[in-house]
Amino acid sequence: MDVTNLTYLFYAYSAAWIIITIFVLMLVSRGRKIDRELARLKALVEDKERS
Amino acid sequence: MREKATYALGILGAIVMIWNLHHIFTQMAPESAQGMAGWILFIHVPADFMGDILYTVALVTSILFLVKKDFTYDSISVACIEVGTMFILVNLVTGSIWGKNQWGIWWTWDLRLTTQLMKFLLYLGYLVVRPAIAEATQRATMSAFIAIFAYADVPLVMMAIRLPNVRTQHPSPVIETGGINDVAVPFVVGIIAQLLMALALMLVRLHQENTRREIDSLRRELHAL
Repeated sequence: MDVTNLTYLFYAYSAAWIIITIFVLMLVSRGRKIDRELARLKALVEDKERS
Repeated sequence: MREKATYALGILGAIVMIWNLHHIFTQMAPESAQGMAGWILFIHVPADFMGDILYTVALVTSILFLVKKDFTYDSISVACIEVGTMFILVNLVTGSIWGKNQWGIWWTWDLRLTTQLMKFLLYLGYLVVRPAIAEATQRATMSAFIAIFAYADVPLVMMAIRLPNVRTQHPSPVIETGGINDVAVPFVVGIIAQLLMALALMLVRLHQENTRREIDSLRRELHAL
């Protein structure tokens, strides 16, 4: 098989996967932060309602 | 259950994308003039399609928000724009790599490339401005206006290679030049793969936005107690 410009194909696909992976990691990290905040606020509301 | 289905969609999209790459390597001969760099098309073009589809959905939901003042539409808009901008970044970066190989330069201020960069920056502006507005209704209204304004660039990008008397280095779309038959399978599969991934990412982002709204209402409840 003719492998002319294989390096550029590799660069392009790697770049795409890196961007998608970074975006997914950002989503996961933000999701965890939001879930923690939600749990904290729910606990606070429950505490206030009880007292 | 809903969460698992979302993850399944994303994983399926990634698998289809890998299968597509396998299909390209085993079933296709490299393009005579470009060699394997021509196959960058199968990730570069679908990424732009995804960006434009998501931006179009965001345009519709932004208008709907302004008309109905329902925050669900605002959530859909921001989810679509964030994921769409990620796909436009993929499009710009892969296009730049292709350009370096075919034109010998990473970037040129060609009409098509410049309008595409403008599109990316306009929607990036949306994502930067949005968190700076504290009040929810004001934030959603301002965001909707920016989304509508930014969409003006989408048809401009499409027209950039079709306008008469405009010299552009960017190749014409394969669909319009009759070359689609040779690349139909990996091209369509590439679109399906990215569509699945876009849908999964959009649903995750939408869920986060709804949770954020719940947090806002809990904060208000805490203040009232």
